[in-house]
Amino acid sequence: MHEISIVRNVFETLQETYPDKFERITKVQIEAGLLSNIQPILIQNAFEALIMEEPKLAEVELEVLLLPIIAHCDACDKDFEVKRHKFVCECGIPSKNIVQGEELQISRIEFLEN
Amino acid sequence: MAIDLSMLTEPLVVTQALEKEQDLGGRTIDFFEIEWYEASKSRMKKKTQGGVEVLVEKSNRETLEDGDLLYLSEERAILLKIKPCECVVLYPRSLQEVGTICFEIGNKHVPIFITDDNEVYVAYDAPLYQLLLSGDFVIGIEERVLHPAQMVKAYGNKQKQ
Repeated sequence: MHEISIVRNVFETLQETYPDKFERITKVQIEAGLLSNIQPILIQNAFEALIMEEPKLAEVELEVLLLPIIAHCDACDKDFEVKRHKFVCECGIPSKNIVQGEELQISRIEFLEN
Repeated sequence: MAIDLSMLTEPLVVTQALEKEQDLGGRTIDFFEIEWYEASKSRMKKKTQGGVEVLVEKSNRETLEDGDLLYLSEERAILLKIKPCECVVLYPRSLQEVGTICFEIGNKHVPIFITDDNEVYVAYDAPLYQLLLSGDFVIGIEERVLHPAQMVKAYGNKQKQ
């Protein structure tokens, strides 16, 4: 529901970080963990709406990469994937030690080569 | 002479889906796979299953559909494939339940899909699933392809020609 401001922030951040290279960006990848409360379809739709406002962004691809939730089991001393929000290791012991899944970050940027 | 498209240095550029009713016989069928939420993207670059790099750069804002023909040559056809995903399938028992379900889902701004058999489904989302479970609705989790044409639009669904 807050995806439009997220997409705006992503491109404002990129403009501040790469003032000289911003117009050469061809692809932006965002990693969103399943606990980040991000709906990729809403991010994509928000980006399409932003393109209408900023036509130059039509040359950029925005990719959302969903990251599964990974937790750590202290009993087994290993990580396991949390499926359907069941934070229980295969050994049967629950865990709230989240290793991955809360991220929301720009993970990759591609620029047009010279 | 056949060209090995995977050896091309520049991607194949696709601006729109081609007409569907074409005979693909004798051609290598290759697939350009996307996630369901990428069908409306106006620009995306990926490799097909056969290793051909394709750049979709839409000339219009039409949403791509599963099975769309993206490229056709004498040797090869590239079709769009939407990856199946886990979905929450709802089986409403009354019109009132349809309204309540759509209200709850709509509040999350999540797209709702309805099949020709009036099955209502959404992409799996754990908090939404728990919410619907607590509402005593009849629901299940199934792997499905989310077809953009079945997405409910507030301004009415338009059939793709």
